[in-house]
Amino acid sequence: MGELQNFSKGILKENPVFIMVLGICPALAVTTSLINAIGMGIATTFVLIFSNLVISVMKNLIPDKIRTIIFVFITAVFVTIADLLMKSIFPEINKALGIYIPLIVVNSIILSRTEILANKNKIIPTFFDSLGMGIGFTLALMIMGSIREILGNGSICNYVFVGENTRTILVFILPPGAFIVYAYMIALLKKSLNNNAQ
Amino acid sequence: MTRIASSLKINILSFSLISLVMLAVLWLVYFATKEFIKNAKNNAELEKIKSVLPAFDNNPLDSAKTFDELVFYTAKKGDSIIGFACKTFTERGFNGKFSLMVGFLPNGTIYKTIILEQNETPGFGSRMKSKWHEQFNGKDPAKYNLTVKKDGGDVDAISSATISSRAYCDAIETAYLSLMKNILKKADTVTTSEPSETNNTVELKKDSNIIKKDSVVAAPMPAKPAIFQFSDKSIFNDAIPAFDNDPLKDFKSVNGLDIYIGKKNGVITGYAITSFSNKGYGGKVIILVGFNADGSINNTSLVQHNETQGLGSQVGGPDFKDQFKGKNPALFKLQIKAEGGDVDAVSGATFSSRAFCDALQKAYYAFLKAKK
Repeated sequence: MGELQNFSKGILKENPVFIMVLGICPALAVTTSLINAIGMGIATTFVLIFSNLVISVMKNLIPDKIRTIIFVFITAVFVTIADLLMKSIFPEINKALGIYIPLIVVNSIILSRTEILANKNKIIPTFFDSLGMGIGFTLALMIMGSIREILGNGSICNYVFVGENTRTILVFILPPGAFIVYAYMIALLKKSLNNNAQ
Repeated sequence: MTRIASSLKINILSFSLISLVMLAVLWLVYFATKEFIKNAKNNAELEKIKSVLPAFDNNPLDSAKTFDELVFYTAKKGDSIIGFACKTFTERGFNGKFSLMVGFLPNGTIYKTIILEQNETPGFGSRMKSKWHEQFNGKDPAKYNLTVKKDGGDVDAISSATISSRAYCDAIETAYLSLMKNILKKADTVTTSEPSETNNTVELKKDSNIIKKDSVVAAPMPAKPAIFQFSDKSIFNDAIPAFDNDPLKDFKSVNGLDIYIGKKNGVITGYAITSFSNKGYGGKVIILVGFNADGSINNTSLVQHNETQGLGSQVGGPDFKDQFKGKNPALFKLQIKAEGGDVDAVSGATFSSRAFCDALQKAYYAFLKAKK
């Protein structure tokens, strides 16, 4: 029961992107297409789970005063691993995401999770919480990515479904579109969660 | 188990230990993925080469050669060369550098082109990825002018992405010139030194002879603007005092600069000269200078430049260029004041100001020559 709640809260009730407003730099920057969003989501989830697990296991060996530097170090190692794995398995997506993969190191979701979760909890709850947060982040990116790709580029997963000369709503691919979609998603989610609570 | 207490010794020990363990893990992953990454990279490269050339059966990656920073791959079927793929790039994109792969047939005709890496604006410049680039397929750059129609060439630019289109042409042109200079010459000597040729190589030899002829025909161009092609004579309204002829038709080329002559009732009222300098901060700066018949400067304007917006681009603004009005370069030293001349440089844009003066000076020399 407890584990299930740990897992599910990250997906909707405490969704890192739409509710906690964390990690929005990648959420705004890479969601120009669904494929990019999935790639970014999976890479972040991978780093989130593994760095939190390792920190949770080692937490008693980490002196309190220098904990942050060690957390960042461990995160950086897993980000590099994720980068290497992506380069060997999905080189195309890695190229498209570019600098945003190394930037996962400073993703605020990971920083906050290591501090408030892995630093204090045992390994099982840490795993389910990170998995939930990771999936919540991935889903949020996928929603934004598909909305922006469909409206802005007339395609989904690089499959173009509009004619060659159709004018698409370009603004959704450009940075302002990211903010528009993001704002609407937050508003919608807030409203539906409030309705449920009443 | 409780957390260990912080003290200097323990901190150092703990950090070193954790670093070592994590670095060991990283080291293992690095060696495990090294080969995969290399293969993935090669496969991606091979895929790109395949998509710009007809079917081949060798491994072009083995034949990679670098000339002038461009990488050339030779594709063969059996023993005969069926094409060259060139990894080329341009610095003139809207967002800086982008690179393409261009496939050439042995006679220099473009087979296909594909974008490798680009940072152009999504929805505008990035439309290069769509069917637009198919217009280059099968074109021979010896006969096909690789500039956009706006600049007098044969290429349809993407609307609202002229700079990206120009840059694309620029990259192909770079590849073509390098191919002609470095590879096709060689291909020619190889085929002539080996008498025992298969049918394909004979064809190749024939083709390369054709290229030679073509380039000979294409080289001596009739007097045609070399620097910049204007489409409308209204551009000269500011440059030349009242004229009633069409300066576009009253054209000559002096010192490699384009000179347009303005006349009223058959009397020369002024000269408009397109001049350039390569000393700009962003490379080439092209200006249009109008001279009165007596040799004083009538007006100047910036035609094309790559200078920094807001700094170097100010040399096109009235504050800077109005200082030349009515000045005769025989008396007015076309050098910035810091270097002993008479020109007030734009602050923060010394390079651009210098380039502007340089281009003006060239134009003046051409003017003196044209007046004789």
